[in-house]
Amino acid sequence: MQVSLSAVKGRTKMELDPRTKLFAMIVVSMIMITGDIRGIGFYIGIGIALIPFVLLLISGNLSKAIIYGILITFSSFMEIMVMNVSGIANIIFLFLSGMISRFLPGVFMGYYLVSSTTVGEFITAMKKMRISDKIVIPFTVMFRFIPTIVDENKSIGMAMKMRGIGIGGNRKNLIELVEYRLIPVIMATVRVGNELSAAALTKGLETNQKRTSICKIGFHFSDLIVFGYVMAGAVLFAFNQMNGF
Amino acid sequence: MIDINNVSFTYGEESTSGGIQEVNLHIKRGEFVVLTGTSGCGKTTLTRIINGLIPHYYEGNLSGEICLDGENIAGKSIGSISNKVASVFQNPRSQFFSVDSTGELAFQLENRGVKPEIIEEKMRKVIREFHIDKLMGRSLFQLSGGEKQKLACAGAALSEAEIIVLDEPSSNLDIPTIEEIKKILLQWKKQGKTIIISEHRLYYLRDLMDRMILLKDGKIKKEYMRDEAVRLTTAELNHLGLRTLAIEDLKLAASERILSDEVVEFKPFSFYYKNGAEGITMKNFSVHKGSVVAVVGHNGAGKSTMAKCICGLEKKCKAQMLMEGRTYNNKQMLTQCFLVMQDVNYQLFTESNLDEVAISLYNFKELGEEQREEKARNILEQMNLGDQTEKHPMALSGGQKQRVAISCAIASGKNIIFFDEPTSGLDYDHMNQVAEQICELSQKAATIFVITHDMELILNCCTHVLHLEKGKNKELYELNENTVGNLKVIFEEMPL
Repeated sequence: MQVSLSAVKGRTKMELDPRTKLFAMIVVSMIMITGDIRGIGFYIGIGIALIPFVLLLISGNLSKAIIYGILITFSSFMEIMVMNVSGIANIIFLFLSGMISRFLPGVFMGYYLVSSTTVGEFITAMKKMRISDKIVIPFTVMFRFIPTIVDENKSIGMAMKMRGIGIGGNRKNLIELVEYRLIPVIMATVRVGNELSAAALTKGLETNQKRTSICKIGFHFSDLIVFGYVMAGAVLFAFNQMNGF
Repeated sequence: MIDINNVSFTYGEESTSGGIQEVNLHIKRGEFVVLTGTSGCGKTTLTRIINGLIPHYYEGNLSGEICLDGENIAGKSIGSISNKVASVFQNPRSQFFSVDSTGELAFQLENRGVKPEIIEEKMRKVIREFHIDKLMGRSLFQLSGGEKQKLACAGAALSEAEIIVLDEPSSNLDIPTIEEIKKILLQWKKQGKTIIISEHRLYYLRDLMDRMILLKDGKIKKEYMRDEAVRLTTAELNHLGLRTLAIEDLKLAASERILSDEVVEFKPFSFYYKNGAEGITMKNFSVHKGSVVAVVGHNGAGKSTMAKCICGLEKKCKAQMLMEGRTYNNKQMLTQCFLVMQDVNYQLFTESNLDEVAISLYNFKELGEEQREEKARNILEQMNLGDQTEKHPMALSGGQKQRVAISCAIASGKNIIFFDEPTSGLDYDHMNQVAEQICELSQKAATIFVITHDMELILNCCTHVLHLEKGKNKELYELNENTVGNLKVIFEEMPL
């Protein structure tokens, strides 16, 4: 009997190398945060903002892709609106659309990276880029932690609801509400973190060791397409920033 | 194989419990040793000394000599100790470094730098031996506690270490899963591995152990060879603060409780998660006010889902409850029900216990600040926490935190209280305290549901049994001499 050892069952055929994902995430966030939203820059922005949408869709995460699509369409419309209104409305629209269109693509790229890459693949990719263990291990721990915090946060939200702590409940003020939410999350995270580190040590995780990996990562045709698209966006963006069309 | 000579350890300066003093212990190759004793007796510390987490991770003052396989481990890296000693921990949630099961299994051999082809070959062998091919390639967040614990054991087997240290591996498991862990332990024993296991639940180790070591206040109080240990009666064990070694000997606690005629009725409801897993479809059922209902069933039968639905925590669930002639909908049930979570750390938020209880008094809007404080103080006193009012909830012991959570439930005027596995990982005395607490609470006319796998707890304090199977309520009956047999059958049957 042959047992499948692929990292995650039911993955879609298009699988990207973690390095491609990382590169795309950095470029997308940089362009969206620093980019100019007027003229041709607006269209480059849209082209770049499409990347997380398409990648989420292909990786089978339909609900997140739709949420992202709606939010980004909404903010693009607002950016057009900004040009036609003035006064307070202008400031509100500018602020909202700016927040969404500038930060959201980076956030969703990050989500895509974390949700579609296993810890093993990530370590292997970092090692292939010859990044030092001193950077790889903390990053890996962070990588492991994001889903943990999401998980813990759910349980705490439930507990608060039951205690009647929340908007409309017996809240005292907003700051206390945030404190009530954060402290158990931090406590739980520290506790889980401690136990995790202990467990990893008993499994022989140390710095400065020669490590192997069963993950087979490497560049495929799909990486080329994504890489080409992101690169083209980056070049257009750079050209536009320097000379303008 | 393991020689511990005159070893003492204390955690830091401020903490006094949990350390060990002048322990001498010699374990032969292939021996199966059970470490037991009440909470804080030092058994977990002893396991950490063997697997090297002390002194490599937990800091403190360590003295004495520890030898593994004739070699003194002082000055050795934890990496080299990990080649000889594999560990399985208590909390299935936090012993995995990867987020996917396959990566986790390979993790240790990858760290050792074994060639990928050899790792894969060894993994295939272990996957076959442990019948875990269904668990491969999954996200660890989707596995149940039992599945995670099996995976942890498979990881220990894959490491090919000769010594395996387990720290309360059964705490979060149901009885059929414990049976599976028992089979794994038996296999290891046959392979000649040296096994050290720290446990509260002893019955499943009865046929496996060679020696049982009783610790008290950081010292070895007594050693029992297998023959001596099995002769101990349940009463003798309980007197030592230990759980039973023979589940079939357990008896129903004699109690004459008068239940009120009033009933709480639950209308039929169903609830399914988006991914289709672990849904429940409940038929109509009702319980007398003041009863203590044990909710039993295998892992994944829908016990926790049912609790969340009845407590009004699942918005989309259309559960309804009839009490004192009033119908409560989903949202209103939240004002009547309280769930004491398995991990109470999630439900304590403020800086002092007094504050914690005081904010739960929001249903009493007519009370002023001072009156609230007064009332909160009274409730804490009732729960034997009178001297802890100013302390930070997180500074309390596990049992005390549980009592603070219960105090909050009382303060908020809720009278249907759910407990989710309140005694997992508790020793006999603490289990008994929880049982007493539950009995007292029920006498104040609260209706209590206890989700549990703990037979000793059920027999100590429950009046009824609600049996869930595959998301349905199979039966609900009163617990008495005639029905105890049924209960034992549920617990012993294998899943599917």
